[in-house]
Amino acid sequence: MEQKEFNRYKRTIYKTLKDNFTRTALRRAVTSFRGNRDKAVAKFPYVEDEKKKLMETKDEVINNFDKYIDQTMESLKTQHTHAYYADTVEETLAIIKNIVGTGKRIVKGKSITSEELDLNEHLEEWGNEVYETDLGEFIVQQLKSRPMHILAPAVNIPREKVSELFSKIAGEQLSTDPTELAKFARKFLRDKFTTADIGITGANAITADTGSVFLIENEGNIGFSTTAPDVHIVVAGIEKIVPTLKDGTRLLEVVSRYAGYFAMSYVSIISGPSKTGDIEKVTVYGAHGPRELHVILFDNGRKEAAKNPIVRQSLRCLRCGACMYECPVYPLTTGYWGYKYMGGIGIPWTAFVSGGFEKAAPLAFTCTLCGRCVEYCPMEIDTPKIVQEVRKLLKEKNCLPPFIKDMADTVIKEGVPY
Amino acid sequence: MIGVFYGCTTRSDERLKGNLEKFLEKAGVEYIPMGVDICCGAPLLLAGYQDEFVEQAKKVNEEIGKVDTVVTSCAHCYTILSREYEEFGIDVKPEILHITEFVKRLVDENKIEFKKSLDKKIVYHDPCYIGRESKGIYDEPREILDKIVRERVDFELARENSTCCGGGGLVRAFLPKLSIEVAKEKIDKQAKPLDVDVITSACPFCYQNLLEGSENSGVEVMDFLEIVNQAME
Repeated sequence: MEQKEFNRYKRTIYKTLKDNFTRTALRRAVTSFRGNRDKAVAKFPYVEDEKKKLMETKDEVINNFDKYIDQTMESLKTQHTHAYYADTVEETLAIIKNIVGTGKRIVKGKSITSEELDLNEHLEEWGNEVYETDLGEFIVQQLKSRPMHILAPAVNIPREKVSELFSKIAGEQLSTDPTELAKFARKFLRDKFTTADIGITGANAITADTGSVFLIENEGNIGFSTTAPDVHIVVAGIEKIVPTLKDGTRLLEVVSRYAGYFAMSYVSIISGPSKTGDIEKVTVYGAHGPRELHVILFDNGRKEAAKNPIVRQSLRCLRCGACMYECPVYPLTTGYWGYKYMGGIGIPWTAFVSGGFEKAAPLAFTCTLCGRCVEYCPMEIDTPKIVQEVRKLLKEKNCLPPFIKDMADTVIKEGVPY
Repeated sequence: MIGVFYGCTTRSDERLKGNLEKFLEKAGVEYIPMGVDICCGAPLLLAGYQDEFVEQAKKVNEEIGKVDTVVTSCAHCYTILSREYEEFGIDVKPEILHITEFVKRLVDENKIEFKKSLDKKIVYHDPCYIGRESKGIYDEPREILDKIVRERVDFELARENSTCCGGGGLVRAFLPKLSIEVAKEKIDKQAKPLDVDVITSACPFCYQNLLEGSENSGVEVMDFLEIVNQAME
């Protein structure tokens, strides 16, 4: 990567530092997150043990991807679900294109995995109409921006800006009251759910033993997206597989607590398409929910990451977002420190999964390696150690920032950097 | 015999170097200066040059092998010498002490005496590299400071929960304004509400970074040894 690429990144980061709206929004978000998380974790002390057990099962899957992919595919098919496995983004998109076709109305649940595929752009390019239905993601989509936090995509957008945006869509002046703004989105999206042909979501977990898809949410948009349309498509990375249904429930408890919730409002556990046998015991698919359920598991670099004994850990990530709120840097940079995946944990994910090593290079040198995230990660992911490993790989791949190379060369030659 | 490992950042900052040498003189410590023309290797490790880091480490290990105890005032040198060398399979013979541990030891052995107390309210900033990133030196600096300042308070987020000053990981080399902004945010949002006169740390990177981040904040930044030296006057 050339110096000018690093300079471009530097300018973006420096510009964000001057953005007072972002700073204020993030300060509020961090304070409120900490309070909620501490309360949620304190009220359910056994979650400490649960997270340890979950970590073991996560590692079991990461260390045996092929076995669990086979098992999951088998279970999904038993449940009358169309199951697919894809190695690459291109293969995944081809599968989706084949199911979706053109001229469809699509409602989506928030999914960073979908960002990995640039799915919205592709769906539109194929002649479909796409609506993000999570409020934050809806705001981001309407702004033609990209998510700035793993869990709270519009974390950096103040209410004034949302009001301006929604007023434009509504054709009338809306207030800056979050209640009114949420009400507008609810009204706007209501008929999109009922008239959509297809719902597309990610997954929080997919169980290998029962082929069940776990989705957790607070808004109710995922419930709509997964039941109202005729077809539901799930797109998930292979690291979302957990061995058993019990592990799935454990995951949903751990991720909720560490994301700062006593309990999430809604949990969907979907094991196959909607069906009824109420007329003469003849099985009919698509009773009230989708007639078809498609689950696409895709790799896109995850197996490669799993081969590296240090980077492997990063695949445990539950996307609770705690590390970002606790990071000294992220609240100042938001998702500009990132590509599709952000912050410290986003560094290995960018290098191995979405973006590649060149994109990861400036990101790897934005982490202070302070280790604070490790203290708060329910999966005990040692991000500083992983970042060190990524830096080593950047060196091997000749992707280091030029000035870092110069500094290291000086130490080698002179014995000291300055 | 004691070796004092200066480290590149302390060695090249007149204030920090002065504080260190003044302390050693006042304490009457006989020592061999080390780490003056040889770097501990941290920049190599942080830049991803792991093989070259090991080569550098071997050279440094040879130098520090001449003494029984190595004292350093740099939190980064400390972690490199005390933890990273071993992790890369290098057998480090001497005992490695951070300056805060060394001062504590001298006090415990009645080898130094404090005569004065600094009439200020201070907060101690835990450097990540003698805290979370190594064995967790949290008590020693606090014990010393409690003896030599009028009032010491802790950040709400302290010890293993302490937030980084922003100066680590080569970020200060790549994005200096970001590093300084992290320090500024810490001073504005964590130090000022405590109504302190001084923020102190025991790491040259934290010191330099907090100093720049403290501009116009009304909070003074002091090196740990600067306060110790004043108490020994």
